[in-house]
Amino acid sequence: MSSSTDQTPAALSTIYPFFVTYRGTFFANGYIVEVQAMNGRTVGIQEADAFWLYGINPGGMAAQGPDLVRAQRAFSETLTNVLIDLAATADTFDAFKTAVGEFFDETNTGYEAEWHEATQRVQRGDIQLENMPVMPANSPRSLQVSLKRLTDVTAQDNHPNLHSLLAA
Amino acid sequence: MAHLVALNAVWEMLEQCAPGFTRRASQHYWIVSYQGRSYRTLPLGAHGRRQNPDIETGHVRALIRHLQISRTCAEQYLDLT
Repeated sequence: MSSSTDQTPAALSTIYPFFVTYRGTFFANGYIVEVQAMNGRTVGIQEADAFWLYGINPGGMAAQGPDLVRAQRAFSETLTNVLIDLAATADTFDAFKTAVGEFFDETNTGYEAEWHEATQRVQRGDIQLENMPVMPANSPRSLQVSLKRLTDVTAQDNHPNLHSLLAA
Repeated sequence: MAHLVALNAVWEMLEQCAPGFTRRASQHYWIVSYQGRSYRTLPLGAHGRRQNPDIETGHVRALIRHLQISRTCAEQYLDLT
């Protein structure tokens, strides 16, 4: 086990604190389900090889791309794949709902300090991203997992969507 | 250019730095669990379940932070830069 002091800071590159909001519809084992997650948290870091988005809530995932936009797209696809994996192993809606809740609640504490420090830099105006709104860092996280009737499914449901906001 | 490490080197690191960890392959990823936490997006490999694919180091960085594994220990087995 390590302490937080055992982790090397991601250091010199800018660290971006994001909120992510995601909505997706899934065919599961005998049911259709919609997942809406508001104000999940990620940190975005331009590493030497790519722009990485490290999940904090949900903590057990990461995705990368050559730039922020493509990293966000990859994060959305990766999150969708994780939810499909969870749906594949959940025989009932309740089991799926529990698994999704646990996944989102499992915090990657290893990135939390950097996320909070970065929100202060956003507050001071040191970090800005064009066309990306800013949202208070204490905005509450929420998760809604609900059954969906076949008659409520639309063509829009073919594409999960994910939006990011800067946290401050 | 992505920074890569061999999957087998990740397993060796976990055996040394996270004794008792478990792993299982899902449809999309390796799921690695340790002390009640799970990292769910370790790649299976570019072409599915290859024996020893290269893994982007960003996933390993995220994994060791999420599973609260000592970076000092991990760096004895992997180059995480």
